[in-house]
Amino acid sequence: MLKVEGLKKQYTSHDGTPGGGVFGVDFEIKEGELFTLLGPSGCGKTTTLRSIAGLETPQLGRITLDGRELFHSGKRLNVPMYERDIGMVFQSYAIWPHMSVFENAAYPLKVSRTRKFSAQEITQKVTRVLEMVGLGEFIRRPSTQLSGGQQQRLALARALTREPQLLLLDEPLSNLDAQLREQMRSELKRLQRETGVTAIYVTHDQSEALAISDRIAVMNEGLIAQLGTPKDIYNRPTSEFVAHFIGRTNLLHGELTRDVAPSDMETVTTPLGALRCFFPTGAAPKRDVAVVVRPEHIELRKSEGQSGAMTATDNVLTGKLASEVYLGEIVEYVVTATNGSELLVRTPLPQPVNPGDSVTLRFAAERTIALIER
Amino acid sequence: MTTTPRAHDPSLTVAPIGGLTRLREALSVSPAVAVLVVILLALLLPPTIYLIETSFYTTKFDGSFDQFTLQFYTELFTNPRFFRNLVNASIYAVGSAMVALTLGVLQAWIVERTNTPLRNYVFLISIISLGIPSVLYTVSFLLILGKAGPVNQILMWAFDSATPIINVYSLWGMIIIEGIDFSPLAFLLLSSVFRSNDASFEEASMMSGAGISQTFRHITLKLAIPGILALLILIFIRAFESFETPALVGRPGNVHVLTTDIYESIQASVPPNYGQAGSFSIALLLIVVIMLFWYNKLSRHAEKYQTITGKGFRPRVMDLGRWRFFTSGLLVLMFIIIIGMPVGIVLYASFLPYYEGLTEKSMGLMTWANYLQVFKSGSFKGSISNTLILGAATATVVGPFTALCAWLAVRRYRGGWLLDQLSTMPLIFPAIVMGVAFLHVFLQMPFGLYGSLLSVIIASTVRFLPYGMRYSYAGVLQVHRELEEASAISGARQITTFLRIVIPLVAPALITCWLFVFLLSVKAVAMQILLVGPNSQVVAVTLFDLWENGQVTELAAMGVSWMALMTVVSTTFYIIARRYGLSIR
Repeated sequence: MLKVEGLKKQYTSHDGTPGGGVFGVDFEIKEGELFTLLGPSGCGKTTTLRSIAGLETPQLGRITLDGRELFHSGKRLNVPMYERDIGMVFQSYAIWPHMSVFENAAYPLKVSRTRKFSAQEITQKVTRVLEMVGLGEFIRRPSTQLSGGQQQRLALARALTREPQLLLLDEPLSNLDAQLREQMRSELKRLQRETGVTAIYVTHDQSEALAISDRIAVMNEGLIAQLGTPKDIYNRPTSEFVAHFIGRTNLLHGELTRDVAPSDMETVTTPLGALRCFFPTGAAPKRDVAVVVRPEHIELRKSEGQSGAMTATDNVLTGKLASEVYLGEIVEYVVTATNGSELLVRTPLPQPVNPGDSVTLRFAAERTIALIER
Repeated sequence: MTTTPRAHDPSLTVAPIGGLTRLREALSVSPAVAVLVVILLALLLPPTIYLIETSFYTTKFDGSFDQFTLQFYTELFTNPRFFRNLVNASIYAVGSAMVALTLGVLQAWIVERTNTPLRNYVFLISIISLGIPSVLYTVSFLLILGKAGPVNQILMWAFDSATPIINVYSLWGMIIIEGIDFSPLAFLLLSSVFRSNDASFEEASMMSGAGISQTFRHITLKLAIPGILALLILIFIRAFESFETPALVGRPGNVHVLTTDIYESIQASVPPNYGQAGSFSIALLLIVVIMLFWYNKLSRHAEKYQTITGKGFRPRVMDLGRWRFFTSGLLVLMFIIIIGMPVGIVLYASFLPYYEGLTEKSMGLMTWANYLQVFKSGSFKGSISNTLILGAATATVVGPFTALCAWLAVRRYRGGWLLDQLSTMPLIFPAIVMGVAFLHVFLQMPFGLYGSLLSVIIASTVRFLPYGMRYSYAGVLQVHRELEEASAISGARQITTFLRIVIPLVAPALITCWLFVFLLSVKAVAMQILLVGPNSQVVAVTLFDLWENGQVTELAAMGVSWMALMTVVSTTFYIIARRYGLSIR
């Protein structure tokens, strides 16, 4: 449905020093997909989104929507934003205060230059979309009377009224309080599924991205660090950055002495001992390999005397329990390993251990990911 | 486990509050506030009371009040002159507001929302125009549009006529001149309206499929309308109570408004008809109060439509493509009309021995004689030094005084709100009315105060209190309360906190305040003209007199010299302000 190729835009500040931007972004989105651009502030996700919208003009690149070229730097082609047939939900909602709820949502139909809609058609479409987002009772109200969550729904309704080919959402939930945010999150997903509209979602909240996306592009410093399904991104991060950005993780550094093929298992020698790891990408012998394992993949037991050894499927480490934090649904243990570094373990069931005890940590080799990239 | 109730320690119980105590608490003010309130009342009450009395009592020759009478009010309602002049004033006010608004909207939109080249220089126009005395400005347009002026010369040549085509001494002449005079103010106020629009409102419109002009019509303009309406009313009020243009342009063309009537009741009548001046003044004042009330309501409504999201979003700048050279040309044209032509023609006139239209002959007559006279003449020099003293004294008193009042008000000292209200009160007095009011105060006072420079300074201070308050209030608001609290926790006493924390932080606002009050107080003439005496001539009044006497070229030379001086003052301040990171915006 949407194809973005070689997108590049560099910002410079007043005195000419280069700022941030986007430095070469490529991806393709299928019809009906909910695709998320995820990353920290300044990573370029908003610039990418606004370039697709036509609100920003990239310096290089090509953007194609359903076979129609919207932007091509080589041909100097740049379709203006009001001709791109894309709906957008702004971070601040941008609900016009001088219009009612109905008028806000009806606006795209009123100003349409490609098709004239009759008053009846407009009323029909607008009422339907407003009811779909749950604002059916507010239709004639002035828009200034809406709460934050209601304004957000109205922004969504307005974007969907003319059934665009693509829907863009720029951090739509960041202004809502925590509870409302979770509620609206599932609402958004449901609506997207029901209407089947292709959507691009921008956020810095990784749990949000994991919850609603079909695929995620994790961005950092103007480039895509990894592109994949939520499961892929979470369980098989391909770089330290992605591993740290998504969820909590433990990180060790070790040495690789043999060649590895992609998706193969191999041993990495770390200060804590030899660990059997999964390599998502192939690698040659290297001094500095990062090894990550998620805290919730580690099993913690009180040490039973013998120190465990690495088995074919599991890695085993020993250490001393430093602290225990009870978080209600989960317990967090911090364990001091033999070389002094700290490991984080998260488990729903409290273990009969006390700070100071010797503990054994066991985690699957498959879940121990070795990363070559930073 | 049971606990036995303990006997109450009497000192721990609170006595019920009686009615009288409650009343006393509600009326209590902190001592600092009390002192300032007394000072303000001493400044504001006498003129107000005297003004009211003027309209209800006949006045004796020496200025004291004689008998109570209602004649001045009955005369007002039976006098067809009053209603005719009321209508004139309204037409004049509406017309100039429309002219000022059109020029202002155009400039503000071009500067704030497009990528027109040269647009950043427009703010310079506003600053320069502040340094031009109102009389000089009006006179310059009278020269431009007058019988012997370049516009008539061109028209006469174009239509092959022997007599001048347009007569500037008319209602429309007043409208055009006042409208152009107000356009820098309109621009400044409108540019802040346009600047504070959230870009996403227009982006959302364009993402919904609306093109540039559709977005402008449906969104940009509609959102700006409340702000524009409020501005329209403000300019209407200012034009309605203005004096310089009606006096210089209207009177010779036999077009009168309320302000000129008031002036003539005192200056053009023998003996001065104080009673009529008083009743007309009260009528004018009441009309202005009603309109101000309406204006306040409207601008509060307008604030709802302004969104400053705080996320650093700037309004979207439209790329005009090749049209931006056209708009750039428009800006240059407006600069020529608003500043270029007036300054140019005055400059030209200052070099002539007597005024006449621009011809080869007139070029040959050019001389420095007028300037020599300005610099040699004792009375001119006296006028200039008086004006500098007036401006400096007014600004130096108003600045710190309003800063203190603003601080007490913003920090919610008990009764502080009173200070805010009282210091804004002079706004309801049109300048000429305040002149009438203070005239009586000084006439009745001993010490020979009437006609002295001190009296003008006192009146000027009262008049410009609201302007000072506006800057001081905004300046104090920006100093976060916690900055002072941190000082207090660190052990500093209140005075120390005020001197070491508040003053340095408020200083930028104070400096801007000083400059603007200085410039405003030396520019105006309506109030000063009733109060100055032979020893306290000020530049604005001198220029007015020179025009009335037909001494155009001397007026021009003096005006140019004064403008040069003011430009130096403003530029110095502008440079200092830029260095310290302030913005005149």
